[in-house]
Amino acid sequence: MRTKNTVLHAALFSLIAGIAMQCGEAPVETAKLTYAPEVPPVIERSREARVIVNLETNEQVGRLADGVEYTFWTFGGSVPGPMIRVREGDTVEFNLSNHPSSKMPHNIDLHAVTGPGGGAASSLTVPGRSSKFEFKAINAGLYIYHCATAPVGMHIANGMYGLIYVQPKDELPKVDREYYVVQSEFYTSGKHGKNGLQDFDMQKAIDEHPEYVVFNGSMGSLLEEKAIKAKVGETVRLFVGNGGPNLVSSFHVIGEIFDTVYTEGGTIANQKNVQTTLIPAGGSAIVEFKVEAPGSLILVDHSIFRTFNKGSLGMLKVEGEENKEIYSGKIEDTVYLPEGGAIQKMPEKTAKAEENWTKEKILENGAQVYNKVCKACHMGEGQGVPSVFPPLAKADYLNANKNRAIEVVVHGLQGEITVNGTKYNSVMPELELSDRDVANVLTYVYNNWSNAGHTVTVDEVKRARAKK
Amino acid sequence: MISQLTAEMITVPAGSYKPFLNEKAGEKSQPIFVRSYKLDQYPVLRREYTQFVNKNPKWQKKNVKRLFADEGYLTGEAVDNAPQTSVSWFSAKAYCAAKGKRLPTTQEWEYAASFPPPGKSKKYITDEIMKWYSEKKPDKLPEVGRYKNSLGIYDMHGMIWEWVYDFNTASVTGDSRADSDLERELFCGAAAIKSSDFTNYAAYMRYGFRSGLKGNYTTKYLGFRCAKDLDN
Repeated sequence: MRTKNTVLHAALFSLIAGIAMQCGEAPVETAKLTYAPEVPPVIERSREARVIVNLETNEQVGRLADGVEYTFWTFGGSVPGPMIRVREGDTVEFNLSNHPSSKMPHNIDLHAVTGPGGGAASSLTVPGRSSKFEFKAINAGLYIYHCATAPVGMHIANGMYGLIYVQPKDELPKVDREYYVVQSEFYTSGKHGKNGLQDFDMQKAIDEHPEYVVFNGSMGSLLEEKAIKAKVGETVRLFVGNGGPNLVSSFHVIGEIFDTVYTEGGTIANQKNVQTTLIPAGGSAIVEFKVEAPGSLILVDHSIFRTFNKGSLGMLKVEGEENKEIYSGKIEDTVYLPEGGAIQKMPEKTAKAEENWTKEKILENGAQVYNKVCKACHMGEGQGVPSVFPPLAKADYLNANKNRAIEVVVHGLQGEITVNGTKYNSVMPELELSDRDVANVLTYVYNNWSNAGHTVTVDEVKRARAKK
Repeated sequence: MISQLTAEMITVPAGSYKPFLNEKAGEKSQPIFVRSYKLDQYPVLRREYTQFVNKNPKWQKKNVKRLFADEGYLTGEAVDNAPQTSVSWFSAKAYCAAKGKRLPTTQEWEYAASFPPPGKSKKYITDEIMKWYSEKKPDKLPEVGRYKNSLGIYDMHGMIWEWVYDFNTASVTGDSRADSDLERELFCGAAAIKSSDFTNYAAYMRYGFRSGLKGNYTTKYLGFRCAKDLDN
């Protein structure tokens, strides 16, 4: 009896001591913030903590696209702002400082906060001041934060958003790679591609007609050497946010299927095998997939004109051994003639060949062919898409060798080339064009956009065709 | 440019203007009547403020009490004929009092600022301000005299923010917000409920900026000008 009592006492004592430890001494730590596409490390501790987050707002001129600058309003000097990771149940001490050189007051609305304005009410900060507020991260999930100072639309449109991930007490399964991607759009007074420092265009913002739709704050921020990476066989988790201010994203990775989606950034893996997931403005999604084959996977907003004309293009480079069972690559390349080969030699083409092709007519027909076939990738003014589709305007690669250019059009081109100092590594398909069309379109291209002014003849095209 | 400016005050005629914030959500705003008063033709210059400080040592940088001006007081570089910025509300008020003047009220300021330059529409004002928001920040503040409205008053837009006497009447600071929900509605989309003009982003900004201030705050782009009642 006596012994038993002592044991009970001892047990009770240690239980009380345990509770005291739990309540009394929450560890204090400073959150490690990361810039996109990096994600803060997984929080390994199993106890709640007091986490200090220090974030600065400032306004600075930065690159939106090659040759295009914009006065960004930022958290932490970048668009998107740094990613914050805390654990469910943590108490967060938030210090928001507005740089003295700012023109504007700023604040922060974290969608992870339960309380008036998500912190906005307590964090309005004029230039040269700091504000402090606290909140308890009671809801796990992936949340947008943004500036909510009037007029909120303009603060968001100028770049003030980012993600805070409240890691669930039972963290999601371990993966090999985690990345941070935020889509957003910009409303510049100049049209897409117009050089120089661009103003914010309020009317375009109200009309929801952006000139730029981008991942991680600028065009090309996830392309080529800045692409995110993984190895064959690894599982990748993307924390994807949509800063808006207006558009909903149809987020898709070309060449992948999301094995798991936590739709809208919640904590339940509620969907398997998803091709495209919707991400609302001011919302998020977590997607996971195992990469099975080497190559470049392309991140896009599948509202596809945004991708090819406005910039929402990113790249995940997968390195490793080919896996032919998963994806064979191109096995055969044969001519497809639905109605038999003879049809292609219709009299109509012969008639065309007999026409008297004046220079004027050549250029007119060349422009039509260009607009129909080439413009989709090389763009209306031959400017191409940076790092994806090479330019034709003032292009050294094009002007250096006329016969090579003809061969590219008739036989296609694959592999790395350098155009005007930028590397490109994609595929130009073999085009089903008549010799006359090839001659005309190339003459058109050579006689526009400050190019060399060459004329390409049908005979030259025939010779190039014979070369393969 | 400065040679064209005299240190005189301009008489702002009595009149009414449509305030940016409505009294109640959803109701059309009633025009606000503003009595005639006098307003400085241009913001108080660095040169003028330096003279004031020399005569009034308690407003020198090294003497000023933190209660009346924070650490940023009188910092930053500018040319002599640039507006004096990095001043607190207390110091701006003291300057005006020393000249026998006062700070303008929000309504007085907004009314005078609502006059566009000669021959221009009100939209021009918004464009001017939006341009200021987007342009690169100058290393040093430039001379005054860049923007003149039809009353002959300079630089109410496009250069700096300005203190007003009752800057905290639309306050959104933590201390004073609980007892009124006006402020809360300046956040997020809610701001649109009370605004009389959804496209007047520039006015949102001014109200937003003022509501973030306290009397001892100073910032790099915040200056002031003085007002005065008519003599009779």
